[in-house]
Amino acid sequence: MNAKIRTYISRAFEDVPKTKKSIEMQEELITNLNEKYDDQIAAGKTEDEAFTLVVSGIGDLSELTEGLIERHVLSAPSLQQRKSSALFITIAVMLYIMSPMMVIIWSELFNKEVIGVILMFTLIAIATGLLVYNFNSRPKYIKESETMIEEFKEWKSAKDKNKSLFDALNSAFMLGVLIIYLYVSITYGWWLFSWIIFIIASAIKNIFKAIYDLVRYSNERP
Amino acid sequence: MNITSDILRGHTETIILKHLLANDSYGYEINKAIQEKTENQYELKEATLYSAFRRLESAGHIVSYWGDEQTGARRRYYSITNEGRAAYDKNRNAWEDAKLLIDTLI
Repeated sequence: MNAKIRTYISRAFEDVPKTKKSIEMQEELITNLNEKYDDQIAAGKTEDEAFTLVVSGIGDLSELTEGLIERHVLSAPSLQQRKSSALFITIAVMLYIMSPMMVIIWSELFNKEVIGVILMFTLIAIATGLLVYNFNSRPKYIKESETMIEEFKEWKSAKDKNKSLFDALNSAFMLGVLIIYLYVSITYGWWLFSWIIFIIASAIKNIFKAIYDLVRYSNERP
Repeated sequence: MNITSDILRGHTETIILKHLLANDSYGYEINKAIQEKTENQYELKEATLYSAFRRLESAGHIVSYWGDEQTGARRRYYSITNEGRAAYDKNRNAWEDAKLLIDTLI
């Protein structure tokens, strides 16, 4: 191993982002150049002669480094994607607002609370489904290059997306709990103890979050 | 010599593919083989050789893998793909045609 060769190559790659590609490229070059250097020494050259010969044979490395600096274009969500995303959210919100109406209409007009409740939950399910689909179909942060910073940004963007997904599910869940609370309390007059549903709901929520975090954590670190 | 190396440089990728037809190999070995075959008349610059590898790789003509050398540094080996073989045949035929044409013209 000749340290001068390593230094020479590292210098040439100074301005290149430290990606996996560029590090492997350097490793490959250093290994092969060292082998050439060793052959020259074995053929009876002095260290200086061998080094000069190896370096003069390298040629213009910018040919290689330029390819590594090249960046990919960052793709932003198109106007159409943003439009459809807005449409999904609007419909979901509309469904949420309409869902309690189902209970009122069916119980007041037709005296069939069960159908009203079923319809309410169906609407909530559809609305939540729309929100989940919307968050998942949104374009992810696309790599500009494979540097550490880009990886961090990507990780952060994934985290933010998880957070908004969690918020959507959470608000849907809490809304459902509120509706059950009001419905049960009004119908049966259990005001005295029906509030306990909120404590149970928050416990359930935290259990689910814990399970989700645990699963994700064990997936990330096999 | 200048015209010769210009012509040769245009065929760097085919030269690499030809070498990989026989067996998998790595950068220095390929360059050494080129030197030996040409009796020290021609040798690729490392910059040229490795950027040709990158081009061939992204074209899907070759694939690379790291060797598991017990001693010393790891080597990156290259292996020709079926697309690479097809590209070699095509390039070789093109060269045969060019040779005939140039012979008639010069």
